[in-house]
Amino acid sequence: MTPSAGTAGWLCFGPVAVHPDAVQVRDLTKTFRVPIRTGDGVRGRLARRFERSGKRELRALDGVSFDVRKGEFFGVAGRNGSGKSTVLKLIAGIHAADGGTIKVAGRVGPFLELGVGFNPELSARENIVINGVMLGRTPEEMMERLAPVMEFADLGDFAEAKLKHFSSGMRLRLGFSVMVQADPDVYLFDEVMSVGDAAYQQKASETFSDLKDRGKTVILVTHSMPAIEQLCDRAMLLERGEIAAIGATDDITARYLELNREQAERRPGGRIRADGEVPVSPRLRARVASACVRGRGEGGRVDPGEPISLEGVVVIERPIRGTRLWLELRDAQGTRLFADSARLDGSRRDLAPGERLRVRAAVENRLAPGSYTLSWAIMHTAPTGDPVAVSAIDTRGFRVAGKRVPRGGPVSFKYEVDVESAADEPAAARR
Amino acid sequence: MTIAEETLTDAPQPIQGPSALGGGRRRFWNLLWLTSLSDYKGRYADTTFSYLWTIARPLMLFAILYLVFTRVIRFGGQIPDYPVILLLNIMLFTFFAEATNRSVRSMTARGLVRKMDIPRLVLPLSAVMTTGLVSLSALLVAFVWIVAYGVEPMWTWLLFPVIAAALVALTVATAALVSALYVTHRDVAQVWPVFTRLLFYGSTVIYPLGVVPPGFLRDVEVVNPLSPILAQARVWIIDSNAPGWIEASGSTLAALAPLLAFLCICFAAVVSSRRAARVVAEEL
Repeated sequence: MTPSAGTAGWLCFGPVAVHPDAVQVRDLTKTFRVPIRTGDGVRGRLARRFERSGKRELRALDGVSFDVRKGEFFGVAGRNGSGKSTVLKLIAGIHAADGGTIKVAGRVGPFLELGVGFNPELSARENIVINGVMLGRTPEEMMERLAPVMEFADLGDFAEAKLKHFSSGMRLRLGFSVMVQADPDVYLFDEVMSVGDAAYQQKASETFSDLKDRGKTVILVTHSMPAIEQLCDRAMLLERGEIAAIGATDDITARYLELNREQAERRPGGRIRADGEVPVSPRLRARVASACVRGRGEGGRVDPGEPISLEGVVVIERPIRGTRLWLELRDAQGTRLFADSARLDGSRRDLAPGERLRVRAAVENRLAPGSYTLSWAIMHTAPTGDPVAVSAIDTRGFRVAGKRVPRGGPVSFKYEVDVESAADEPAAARR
Repeated sequence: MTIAEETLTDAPQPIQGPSALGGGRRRFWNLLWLTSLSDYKGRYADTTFSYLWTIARPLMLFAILYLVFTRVIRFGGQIPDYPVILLLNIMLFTFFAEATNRSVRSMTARGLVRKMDIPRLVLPLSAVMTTGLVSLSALLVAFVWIVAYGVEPMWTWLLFPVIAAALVALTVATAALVSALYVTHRDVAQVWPVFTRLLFYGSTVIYPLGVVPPGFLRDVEVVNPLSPILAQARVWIIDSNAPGWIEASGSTLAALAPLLAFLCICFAAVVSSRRAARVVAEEL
């Protein structure tokens, strides 16, 4: 086993040369060939087998390069189909890359699905050994770790019980426990936080903290922006098989939220949608030239309690009557916290083509620390009397600085608490 | 990156990606042994008689065959010790047929290859090994039956490992080939059971090569890699006066034909396994 960055330094006398990277990925390319459905009959299937056109090429990854340092928690975010799971499977050696190189220092522990390879007819003990061997350990090593695995999984005396008698929660914990006790050099997790019951999630969360303390290298694929923010040191955002952004987790979560909103808003509009979101006219009249969301803190940081300011430039392309500005605030889960539109008065009420408008808005900030999006658009009043967006909805991610408070909720209110003795109250009132 | 960094012992190393054999010899063997053992245990799980079945099944099968071929159809009356030759042949052939049939879908079973970097060849080989474990008890039963029938123990019984090794080699190569072909051609799962049934009647299982008249069928029998294994098993285990393979096949050149066929199967297995190993996770 290679020494980890965390321990090599102080265990030895004098400086020890430690390679900084645990994983190096260069120009990674992967294309899947997906059959086009041409019917399930014999003719369709024969056609699919013998015609070249029977398969469509799907470029899952295109020239992806990144490094993960030793002891780093590295997040991989992206929407469905962005290629994030493919990256993990290529590093795990499950798929073969079409181009590029992957280098890994030490043993990889892929954790793409909990309890893969578990045999329900065998006992927990036998399954632990087989699973450990799949993760690169020897049967003897796993036998030695049997007790810690069972203890970690909170399964007590069930080592000889057949796995088919375990609940799905118990299996999840066992799979997780085997993985941790197999102790690979690089952990690969795919959406492990989105499964299991509360007890399992608690276990997973504690384990991540423990891995972090022990200086383990972890690559975490997830949709959960809070997980990226709380656990990861750095992250990468994939979009259509390419790296859309890589760096600080704040930037990645903000960019991810923007992407998600943009995608949601690209759906054809024109009518008020059932979920009450703002309708977008199919015929746009204005174009957003630039926009940014900033706080007054250092480097544009949004501090708790400080107003969130939006600044944007709009170019009018077709005449607009009864102009309004629409604003919407959402949290990282996409829950709408606030939405409203304000009419622009005076000379800004009716706009002519070619005009450039600078839009400024300041929103009161009662948000708890975390990631949010602010969306805005130019609206007008449709002939039906309904307000309709006539520019594409522009979404900007931002982050309210500070540590996220547990059980916090999306907003933070000031409150006062007063406690005094109630001993002098009559007994009847106490009841 | 500088050159100095690359020479550090903990520098990242290129990964191999999915392969038929990769990941180290020890891990391959451990995985093969453990998965075979677990499949073997799972086979009789929940049955009342558990491992007794490993003895009872071949015993009952042999009893049925014995009755049918000696009392009902009286086939092979002119062949000395025909009932036990038949028993031995069927035992050897059943191992081949069962192991290859079990291995056909092995690479895609349980979706394992989509989630784990497991050397792909472990999966068909594990099917062969599980069948091998089951066959060990059948082998024991067969020898007891042979002795009970009246065959005198011979020193050539010590050569049985040679027969077993040849049969295992042929079975492994065939299992690797059919499981790899199944990855891209799912029709193999339909064709292979029929083909092994054809092979049962088309090989020298229920009749020796000597009774086949010259012609196309005999030529096929001579090329069939199972033929020399069954012929030598008869000579070494049951009847030392029976014709050996070289004598039965007619010439030294003809005797080598099955070896050539076996090498062709091996070559096809290597080529298709290497290809299948890389694509199987995408073809599920």
